Amino acid sequence: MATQTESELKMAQLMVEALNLEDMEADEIDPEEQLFGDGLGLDSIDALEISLAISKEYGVQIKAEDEGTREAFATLRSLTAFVENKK
Amino acid sequence: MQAKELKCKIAGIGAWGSYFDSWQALQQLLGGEPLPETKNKGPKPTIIPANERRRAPLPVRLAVESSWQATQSVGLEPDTLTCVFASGLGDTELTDYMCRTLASEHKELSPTKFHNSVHNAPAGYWTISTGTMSAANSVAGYEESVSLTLVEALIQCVTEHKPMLVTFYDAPVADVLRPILSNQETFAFSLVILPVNAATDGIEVTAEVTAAEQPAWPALQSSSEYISSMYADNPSAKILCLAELMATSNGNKSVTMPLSQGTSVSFTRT
Amino acid sequence: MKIDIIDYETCSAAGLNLKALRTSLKHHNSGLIKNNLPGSDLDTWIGLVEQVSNVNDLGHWQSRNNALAALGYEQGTIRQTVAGLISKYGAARVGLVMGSSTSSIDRTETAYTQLDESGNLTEQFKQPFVHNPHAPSLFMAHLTGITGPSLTINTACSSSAKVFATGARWLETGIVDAVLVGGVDTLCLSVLHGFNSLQLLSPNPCKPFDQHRDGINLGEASGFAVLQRHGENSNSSGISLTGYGESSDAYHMSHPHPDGLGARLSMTQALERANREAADIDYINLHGTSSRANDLIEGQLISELFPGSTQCSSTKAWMGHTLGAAGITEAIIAMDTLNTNIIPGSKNLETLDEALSLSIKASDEHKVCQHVMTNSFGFGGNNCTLLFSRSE
Repeated sequence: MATQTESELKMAQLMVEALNLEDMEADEIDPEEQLFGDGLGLDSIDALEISLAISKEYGVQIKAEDEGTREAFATLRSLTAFVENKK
Repeated sequence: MQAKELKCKIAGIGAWGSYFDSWQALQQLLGGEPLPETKNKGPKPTIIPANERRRAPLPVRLAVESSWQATQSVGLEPDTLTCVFASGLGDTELTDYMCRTLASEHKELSPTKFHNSVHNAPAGYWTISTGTMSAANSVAGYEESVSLTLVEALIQCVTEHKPMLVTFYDAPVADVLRPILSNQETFAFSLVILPVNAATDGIEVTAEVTAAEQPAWPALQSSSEYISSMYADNPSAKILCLAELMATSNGNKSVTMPLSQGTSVSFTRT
Repeated sequence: MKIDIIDYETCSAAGLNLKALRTSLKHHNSGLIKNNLPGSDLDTWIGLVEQVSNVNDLGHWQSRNNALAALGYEQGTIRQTVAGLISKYGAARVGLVMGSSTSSIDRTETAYTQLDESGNLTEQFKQPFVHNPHAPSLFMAHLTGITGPSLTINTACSSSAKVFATGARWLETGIVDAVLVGGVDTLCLSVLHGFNSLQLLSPNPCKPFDQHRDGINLGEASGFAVLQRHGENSNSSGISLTGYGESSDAYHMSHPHPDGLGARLSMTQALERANREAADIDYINLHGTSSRANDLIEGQLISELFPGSTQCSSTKAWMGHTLGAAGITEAIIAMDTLNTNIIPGSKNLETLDEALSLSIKASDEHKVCQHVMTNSFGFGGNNCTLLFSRSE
């Protein structure tokens, strides 16, 4: 598993809390693993839930229909980077 | 018009509450056994896939748990059953969450909690978890939730010749609403109801709707305070008067429940 | 099967009653306005029924939902029809089935803004009959005097379509001689912020099936219909319920099955029950919410199941998506075509989604219809389709 950066760990903690990921610790989420589909198995509602949590924590708005949102949600790494850029 | 006979077979039963985790355990309590020392945790029915289970609220988990038990007890595939889910109180914790959030400055709602707040969330999770594409109904009838739902399901069983799953569930009421909707108990109960000529064995029951003036719920045979208070306050627990009928093969053969202000429905083991 | 529709009425932003709705439909006047609901600065359009605010004498039954139900029940002849049936058969021989998704959560929302210092409900909000999911039926039983079986169906957007199926079955078994079915849902912060959290709201007036649609508009409505067994009331509307289909998607709580499998089941069941072929259907009032997902899936399904001669439209651009009341609101629009001989166009459609090829247009069609259908698909993948035919 790739090593998490500090901001990736923080994002992972946000995800675990927002999605009630019971069987998982924040530091266990591989930053390069697919979030959707076969990887972590998240779905479109989870994406919206994470977006809400991100907007509350960082003030960054993510709209499902926007360009770049799909790529942003690919992995924990891409999501963290996306939010960093928008802050 | 002469009313059609509402006859069916009750083939499977499931149940879950704070002090019982199966129909067998509930029967023991109804029979006078003392309450266990500790309350049950959960339920966490594994038929709900993990990614749905983590976001399933208590009413959903209650309904799915007793539904699963009932279908397993009779060995029927869940997706062959048409379902009716009933809750007298709905998910008051989610109502509380939404109203609290909307009364505050920051009104953004959790999308997960919002889509879980529809009254038919349990029916939705059940059909998703079991791949059931037949009709699913989600109803409410306040104090008469149980009798109305039984009649609705029996009618569907008889008119459409469908095997039915009927599930009642009600969870403790959120603090703010407790003064007006008193329930503090957790209760879920499911029945598999089959057409009389179905191959599977079951207890044959005939229902009859008759005119009645302001009918009242019958007293239970059980003398347990826990059972009585749950029966009084939890709309879904009104099924206990029928459960007692199912639990004993001798004794009472019939129970009459209020159906509405002007009607009652009797269930007789035939 | 054949269940007669004796009478029906509707109340929405597109018209206080059926007469007003017919006028709005005819002149393509939408009732949608820019969202101005206090407490929600959301950029969207809504279908608000202004006159609801005047109904504030319901005492301990007061809620916006009950007020809209009361307002709708005052329209046309529906109240007199029910009173006549109670007189004839007795109150206990008339049934009541209401569909709603908000029930009266509007009132609970308000109650929470007026909690006392200890965080408890204040006196005027201690309304056990209102703050529970059966509120619409409890209120309507009180208003009508019906003492027969009375049930509330709450399956999100299919609620007040399913009421017809339940009412039909009750009549078939003979436990009642008439059933008042209805639906009511009101605009409130829960639904506005809820749908906003799902990013489903459009900042523009909705455009069902349009290539450039970008979301839904919410609305409020109430509607009622009186059902009896065929031939038992000579004062019928000339319309019968001849088929219904109910199914589940078994897919996702808030996203429809991508291949429309559940919707396919509910539509084919309705046809089977009515003993009809798809080609017999003159008009379908589609669910058509203007969401990217629903319209694509529903539109493709229609092309697969129905020939070009089956005209389709969504009428949500007139009053918005009225959620638990959408079923009956649109059932009434569909069945009324059998009286008006006008199929309403799919208002706000400019460019059909390029993936779709069903028979749909913005303009009306003048046609004497024999059989019409309506679709209602709700959260949890709950689907209901109704089929209405000329009675003779």
